[in-house]
Amino acid sequence: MSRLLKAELNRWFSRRLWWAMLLGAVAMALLVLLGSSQAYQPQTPAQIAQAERDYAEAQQQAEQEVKNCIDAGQPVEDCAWMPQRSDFVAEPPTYAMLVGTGAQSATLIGALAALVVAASFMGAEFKSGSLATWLTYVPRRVQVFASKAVVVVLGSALLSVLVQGLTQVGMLIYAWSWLGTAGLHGAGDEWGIVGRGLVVTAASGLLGYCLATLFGSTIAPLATLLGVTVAQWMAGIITLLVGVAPWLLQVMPDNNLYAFTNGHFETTYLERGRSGEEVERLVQIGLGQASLYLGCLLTIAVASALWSFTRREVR
Amino acid sequence: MTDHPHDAALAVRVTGLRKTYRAIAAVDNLTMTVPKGGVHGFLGPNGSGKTTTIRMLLGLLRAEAGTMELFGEPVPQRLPQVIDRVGAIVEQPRFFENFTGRKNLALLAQGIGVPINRVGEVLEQVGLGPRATSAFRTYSLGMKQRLAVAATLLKNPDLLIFDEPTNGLDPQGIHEFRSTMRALADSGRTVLVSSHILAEVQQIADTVTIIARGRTLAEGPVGTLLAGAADPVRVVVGDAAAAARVLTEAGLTVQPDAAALLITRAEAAVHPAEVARLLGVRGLWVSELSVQRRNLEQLYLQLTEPGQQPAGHTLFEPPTGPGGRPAGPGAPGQGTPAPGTSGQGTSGPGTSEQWAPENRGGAA
Repeated sequence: MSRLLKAELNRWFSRRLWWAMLLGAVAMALLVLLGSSQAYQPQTPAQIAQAERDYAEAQQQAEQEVKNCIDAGQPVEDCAWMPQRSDFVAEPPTYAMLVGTGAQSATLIGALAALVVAASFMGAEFKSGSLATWLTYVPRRVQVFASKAVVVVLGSALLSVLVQGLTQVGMLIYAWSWLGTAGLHGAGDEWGIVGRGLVVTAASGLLGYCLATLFGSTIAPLATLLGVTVAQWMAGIITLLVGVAPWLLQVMPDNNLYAFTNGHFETTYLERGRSGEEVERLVQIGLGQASLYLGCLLTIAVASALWSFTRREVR
Repeated sequence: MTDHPHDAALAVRVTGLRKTYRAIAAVDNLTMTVPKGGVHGFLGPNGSGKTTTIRMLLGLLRAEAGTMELFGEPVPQRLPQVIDRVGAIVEQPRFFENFTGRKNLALLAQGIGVPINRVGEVLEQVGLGPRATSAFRTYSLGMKQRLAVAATLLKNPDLLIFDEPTNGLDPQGIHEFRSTMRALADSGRTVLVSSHILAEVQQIADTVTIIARGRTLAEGPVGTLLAGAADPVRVVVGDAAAAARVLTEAGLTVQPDAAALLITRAEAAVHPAEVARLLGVRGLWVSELSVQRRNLEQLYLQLTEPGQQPAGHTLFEPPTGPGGRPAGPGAPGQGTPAPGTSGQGTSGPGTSEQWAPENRGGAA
């Protein structure tokens, strides 16, 4: 098994796609950092003073418009709107906010990159036909499958560590320069997102590998995931707008993935009450439920791929 | 190569093998026996089931019926235990396109625990040293074949399986490959080579299995198979009609062959001098007279003629000797159909038992 692991590791790190996706992921992480700099950089005192003036002006205008609205005979509740201070004067960022935002972005980038690299890692074997050559040298299929799976998980985890690490170093630098050393605290929960992001990326690689094994190609798993994503968007829209089959919100992979990464997911949907009125209902997914859901999904994928790989006729 | 004290006498033994694709039998009750040492030709037209059989032997496809053995070990059950003694190329050489030849072999070497310096050795052995660092996709077909041979040599195997190895090669490449196979066999290895070009394999094979439509038509030493029937005598004579009449009256069988006549006799060989004498005493002077040596291609055509029994030419017998078991009824390939089979593909009436390793022309 160790010989197989060495050979598969050698192949993983010799692939150009691995290096291309790693560079791409790093570039995306740098873009996220650049975007975060724009989005979260605290306002200067001069900017805050200007924002306060703008806010006061907007308030005056709004009061006048509300008065005009009421004078025009509109119901008071339809005219009662006022600008919010937070629309003008941004709250200074916290370190927790920066860590969380960076972790979420790095997880998304890492998971997508790992999925593509892992699917291609297996898909290339089918495309080139080298799987047949490999199996004539090493016919122990369970070990061959396991060695590839282990390498996919390790490679994906490494990708995640690099992307998460780069993002968090960048966020740390921002926090230190904006908030000072005194501001570098209070991100305990958000570090959980970083850790779970690493798990999600490794699992994403494993899922890509399993789907490529099942379909025997690189493109098919990516197309399948795209199809699933589109389908759940459509189902989500229908559920949220029409209130049909609200349980779908609990079993959608996207929602569970969000719940697992962030530790919690909640959304609301409208339901028609007995007397015809609209009632707002809350849907929540906790970390435990999401872990169980994704664990089962991954187990099914691995078991199916292993079954397929050991029984597959290689031509 | 290693000595294995409990080796079977045969490198490969296949009995009653069957594989169907969507109700079409690709391999149907196929029997093949490959003695250890020498070159064994696995012959048949395209689509006759050669590649399917090899893939089943290597565990890439599942057999629906039958038994297979490599060096006496049942496969695919014990394939992992015996695979280190087998090097194989199935159809076209398949490697990672973007990796160099050296990288592809290094991965294989790493996977099977062969020292990495062996890669350089085998690359030099097949003459690919100067191109070892080029990407596989840039190789010509001949170079790809040579890389595949190098891959099979990594393990220093006892049995090499080449599936249509000369497909796409130029005449020089074909000649080189034939020399390579012969040299491997002469060094004591067993080479199983499948091909649809019977005349090509005849030049190097010591023994052959001929199949068609997934069934064994004949197998045994090449010399024995070709001696199985008398060679015809070809004669050219001015008055062919009169000559045919004279020869027929003498109990010979005469077939026209363009401007010539082909003379055979059912029960014995025809001697050219006999033909010359028969015609000469009638004043029919012969302008050409030759014995038509049969080749595997003619044998194949004869075996597949309508009305021919599509089986029954199994000439192998596992050798008996100290520690060996005597051949007897019920032994695979010994003239008794496997249970549940129709008996085709195994010996029938008229089976000869003429093979023994020391009788072969090649190295044992």
